[in-house]
Amino acid sequence: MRHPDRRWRTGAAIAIMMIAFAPYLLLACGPSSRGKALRASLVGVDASRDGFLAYDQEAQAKIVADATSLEEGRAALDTYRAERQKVVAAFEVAYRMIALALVDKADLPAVVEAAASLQDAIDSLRQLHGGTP
Amino acid sequence: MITKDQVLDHADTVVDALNILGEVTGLKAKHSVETIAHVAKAVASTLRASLAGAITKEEVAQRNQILLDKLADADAKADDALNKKFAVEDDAG
Repeated sequence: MRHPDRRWRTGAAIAIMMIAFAPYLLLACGPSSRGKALRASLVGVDASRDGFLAYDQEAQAKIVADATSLEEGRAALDTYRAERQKVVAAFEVAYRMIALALVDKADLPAVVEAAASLQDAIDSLRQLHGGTP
Repeated sequence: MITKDQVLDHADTVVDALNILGEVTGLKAKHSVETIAHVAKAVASTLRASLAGAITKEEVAQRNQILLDKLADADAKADDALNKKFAVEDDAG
């Protein structure tokens, strides 16, 4: 079985790649390909989401296992969840931007920006909590 | 039944069909081809926006809600595990 962190990273990489390329596909292709590209982006973000959920479960389990007191455990979980919120917000923005891009081409740069923000949030959490949760 | 994916995939065809319809019904006699095309694109755009709106409400929002729901479950599970861990240790002590 693959490690959750690896699945998350793979999912995130797929999502970022799909989101990053989708706008270019949209600009280059007609409306039919546009819908398909955005749907592919949705699938990519979903893959990243599922990998992230697996990572989150493992990360919180490790925090609980490493806790030496109830107070320390709660503080560590609170710290982790506060940092995790940035990733959650980035996912929400990515989903919203894709939805907006479905109806308005002017929002395509926002899709690229959302993808970059999602990548930044993921990188930040990874740096704080290491390669393995 | 025609699915929304099929409509999205054939949006260009819808525009073409409406253009041809304008030709056949004589709209061209009263309006320029550009006007007919503009109306046709507006219809297709509205249709596409409506369908995309459905995707936004029914799919995109749902996908993000899955993330929030599962994180809430994971939080409850971790909190419970932490409480049980130290409750057990307190009892043992």
